[in-house]
Amino acid sequence: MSLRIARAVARWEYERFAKPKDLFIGTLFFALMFGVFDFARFFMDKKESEEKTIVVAGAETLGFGEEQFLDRFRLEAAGDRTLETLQAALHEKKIDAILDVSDSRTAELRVLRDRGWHGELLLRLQAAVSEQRLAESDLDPAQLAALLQPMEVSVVHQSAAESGGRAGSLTVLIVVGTMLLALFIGFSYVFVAITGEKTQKVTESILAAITPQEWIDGKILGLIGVIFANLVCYGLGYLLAKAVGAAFFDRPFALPSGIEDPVSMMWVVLFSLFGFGFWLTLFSLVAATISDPNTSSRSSMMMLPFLPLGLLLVGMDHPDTLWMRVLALIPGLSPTAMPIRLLRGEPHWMEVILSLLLLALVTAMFRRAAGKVFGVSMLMTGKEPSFREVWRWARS
Amino acid sequence: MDAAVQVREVVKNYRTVRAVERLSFEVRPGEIFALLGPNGAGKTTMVRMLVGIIQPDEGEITFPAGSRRGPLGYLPEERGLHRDTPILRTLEYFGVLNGLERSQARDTALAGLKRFGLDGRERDRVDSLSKGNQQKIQFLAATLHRPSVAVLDEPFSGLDPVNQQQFLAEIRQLQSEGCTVILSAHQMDLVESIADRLLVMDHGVSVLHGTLDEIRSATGSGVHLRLKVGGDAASAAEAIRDWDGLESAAASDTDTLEVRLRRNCPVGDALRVLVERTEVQSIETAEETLREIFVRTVGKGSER
Repeated sequence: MSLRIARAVARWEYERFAKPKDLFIGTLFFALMFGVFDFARFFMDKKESEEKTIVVAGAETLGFGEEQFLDRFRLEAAGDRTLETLQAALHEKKIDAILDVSDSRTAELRVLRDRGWHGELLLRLQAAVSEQRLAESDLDPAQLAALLQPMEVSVVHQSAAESGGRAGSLTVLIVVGTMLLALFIGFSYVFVAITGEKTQKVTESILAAITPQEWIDGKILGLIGVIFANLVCYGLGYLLAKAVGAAFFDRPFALPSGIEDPVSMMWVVLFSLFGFGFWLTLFSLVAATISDPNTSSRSSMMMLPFLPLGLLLVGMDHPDTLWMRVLALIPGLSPTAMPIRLLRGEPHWMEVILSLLLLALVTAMFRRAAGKVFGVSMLMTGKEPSFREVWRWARS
Repeated sequence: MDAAVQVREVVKNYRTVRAVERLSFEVRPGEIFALLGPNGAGKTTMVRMLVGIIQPDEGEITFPAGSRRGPLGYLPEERGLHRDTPILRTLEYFGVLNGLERSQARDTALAGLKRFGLDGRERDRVDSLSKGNQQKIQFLAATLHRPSVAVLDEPFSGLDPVNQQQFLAEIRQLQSEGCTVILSAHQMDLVESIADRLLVMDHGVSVLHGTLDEIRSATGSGVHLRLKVGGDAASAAEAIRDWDGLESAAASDTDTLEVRLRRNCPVGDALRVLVERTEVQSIETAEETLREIFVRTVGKGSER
């Protein structure tokens, strides 16, 4: 393979699809999207943290007064108001909930729909009721204070490397989601690049000058470059949105947890790189066998990388189980599974190296097979080759 | 050096169809070699094998040492360029793929565009050009690196007569630079005017091979006479029909008679018979054209 040729093809593919103007617009678009997302969260959080009014029917049973505050929850005795009146007020959103106390041990919290603050309210109610009961007992204040003193528990990591903390689910979702988004973009570029060249009949001219292997190598490298350019744009868009939020709207400028760990991120980037190589080679192979992209049923094969997503998400909260350890070794799944383990779990370094080697090995084998199939299938028009024929060419 | 390209006993099958059947020929260094044949004769298959984008099932195609320097120049029958890309970038890309440095490709492309009257359009997209001009870009892309061997499949198709002449000049220029040119075409008059040697294929086999004179001689075509006659030319044709020195006689106009003599038939004998049996007003001799040989050899109606 001539590196000079592969580099020329890579540059051509990159310049065809990664146009500076489009990348700039993409960055602004993502900044806007992240900004809107951030502000939506901000307003939802703000609304959630506002004072909530809970009317207590039977407040006297609990020993509550006319009005009582449990942090941001204002408990107001129902007084003469009937349950129907209170329910009407709830529907009109004049109050946030009704606490209907049957006796000192049973109550119902009536709400319009589930909200995030319900759990917090129930915890505070339990604590307030317990406190009330203790206060009504004969315990002296010192004993009471000792009883109510919460135990402070702090988490101490026994693995030195983990003391920086593991990434949250959000971080993993961002990493996995971004990779899948990038793959989706890569898929569309591969599809356009290859079927477009077939329909524009440029294949013969190119194959007369260079080998199919040089062509596919250059294509894959160029399109990986396009994907990374897009990923950088997403990152810049995210940082831009955060910077604008911090500068003008007093929002915190914080990266998702775990993402700042350079070692983990280096591995994530490596797995992404090989993962893109693996999938783009496979996509190229399939695209080269498609004669008419409008009618071919093979287009649906491009959704293959998204199928294991469910399997991986199941293991997201259990990154070091046997299930995830196996998935993280399977080439094709490992580019997504191993980053989850790296960000959320504690994979042994041997597992990481083995997984990367397996992925690199299979990608290299794919590359060789793709070169053989590509040379034949790119010249074919009309009837698409059967999978048996493709397999025969790949083994030739 | 005896040959620039040697084709020996080449066979190519497509599933149940045999496209090329034990074909052998040589192309000499620096010559323009034409590959002719009716549609489906196997020309494009042969061209693709010459270029190396498909492989023969049997036989071999070789470029003896020194005859091929760098990639071939290839103009495919199925033309195609990246339509949404600027012209100059497209030419640079093909130049680099064919072994040129980017700056070299750029300079050569600009010179080529100027030669074809397309200077000033470097930044335009390929699809903004007319079909004929796109063909010029395709030709430039194939020959920018000044190849030692160029394979041109139907270089004249879709061109107007003026552009056909320009392409002829470009091909002659390539030849003058030492390039061996193999071309396939249906425009017999153009091929006749440019080809040094030719090969006519039919059903995958060679039916004629050599220079035009050699082919004329091999096909036994005698002298061709064109006569202006007094009276009806069709009646004059009937009047000489039974003469044994005649290959064919037909009226091409009401007063024009086309007469083809048998090989080795003396022209003097023919003139005597014609003067005796018809009212000859004027007479001119002509050699059989490539088009006539082609139609006679591979059958009428096979030309586009």
